[in-house]
Amino acid sequence: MTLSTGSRHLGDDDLIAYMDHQLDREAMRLGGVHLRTCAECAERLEGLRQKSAVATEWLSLLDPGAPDPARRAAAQAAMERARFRRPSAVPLGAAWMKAAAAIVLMVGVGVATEPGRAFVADGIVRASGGNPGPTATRMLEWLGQRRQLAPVAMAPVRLAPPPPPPAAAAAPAADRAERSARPAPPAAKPGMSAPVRFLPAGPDVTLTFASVQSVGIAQVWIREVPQASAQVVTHYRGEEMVTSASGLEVRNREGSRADYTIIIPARYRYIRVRVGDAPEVLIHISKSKQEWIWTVNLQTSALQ
Amino acid sequence: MTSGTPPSEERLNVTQLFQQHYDGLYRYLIRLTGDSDLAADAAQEAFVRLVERPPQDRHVRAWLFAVATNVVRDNARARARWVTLLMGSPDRAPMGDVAPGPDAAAESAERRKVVRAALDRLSWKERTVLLMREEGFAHHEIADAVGTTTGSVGTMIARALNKLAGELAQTSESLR
Repeated sequence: MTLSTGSRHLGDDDLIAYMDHQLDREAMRLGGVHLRTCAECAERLEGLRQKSAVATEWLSLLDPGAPDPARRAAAQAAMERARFRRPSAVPLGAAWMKAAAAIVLMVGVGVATEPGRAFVADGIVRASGGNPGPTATRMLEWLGQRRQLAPVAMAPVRLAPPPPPPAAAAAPAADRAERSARPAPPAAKPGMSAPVRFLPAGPDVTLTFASVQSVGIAQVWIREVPQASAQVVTHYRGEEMVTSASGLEVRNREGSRADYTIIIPARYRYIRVRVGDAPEVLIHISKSKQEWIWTVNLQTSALQ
Repeated sequence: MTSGTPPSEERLNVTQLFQQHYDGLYRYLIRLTGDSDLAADAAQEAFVRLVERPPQDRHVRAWLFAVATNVVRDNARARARWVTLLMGSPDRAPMGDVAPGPDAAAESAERRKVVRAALDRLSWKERTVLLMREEGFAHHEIADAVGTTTGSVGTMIARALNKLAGELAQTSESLR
């Protein structure tokens, strides 16, 4: 606050502001200079000071003692009740902004990550009854999921020849556990790999790969699951496992007889698998689908 | 003049704020209204509103006093009750914590009655600015509370002091 101007003397408002130290530094300095040279203003200031002191003294007569403890406690209790019934400290506008940001984030993540794209694509296919129309097809193409989604909606992919029927879904749980524990059966004839099985087991999905072949290369490639682990459980000749940021590759470089176990965390709802030279397949890992079975046609594998 | 700390620091603990400011707010409201029930009601309402709609950009203490002042002013029922009580028992304001003897008590009651009457002859704004100044608020905080400019607060304080001093001077003479 600054001093008012245009008068030879300070106004009462200036004197009160000066007395209460409500003026800025320069105004306080100018007021002090004036009061040292103007007896009239100094006298008025002194008069206001005395009145202020008298008022303070008289007003103190009205002061209560300590507030009534019961009323004080009631006030505090009312305040505490208000704290608990308050719906939210966040203003409604801010809540809407947060909700909108969450939706944008979900959509962004949905289309920016492979599992998210697969999830969205799965929803599109399901919404279209398994037969996407032109618009849905374009959306699937945009999501890069068109060719992968077809196997998801279908029965397990069987490259050649037809594997044993996946009866696991209908079998009792104990029976399924027993079968998942034992090694996969060997290939029936040269040129074909043993069946490649994915078996959900607890928090993981176990891929058992019993490679029995006299020629060619058997290869299983799992993309974008770098956290997967794999180990050769029998025989070690000519086998190769490569893990990288882009996924896990397991293959035989020559005729082999080896059993592999690959553990994939079940938190991956989708994985991409390429078996042999077959097209890449998107697998939706779910408990309802207990088993996937592939065999590799070694005689047609591009890696031979 | 004290103005407290910014809301961002103060608002975190309303229980602590209650402990810090309730007694001062109650004292101010007793002076303002002369009615302990009305003062307690207004103080409670101010703290409830503090929880429900905390101030975004004002110092909490000044905000509490302004809200409580508005509660008293805007509550027509309470104001009518206050006037009635004043007419029926002008010295109803709570006593101090010293128990005086019979003569001293009578004189003290008379002096409270006088100052109460002198305050009541001030306008609402004059009374509010005067009492908020007594509580140590800055002029801009007083201006916010009564809805006026900072510059006019000094004028109102001076006018209130002159009026009150005139009333009290006459009373002092008559009491002698």
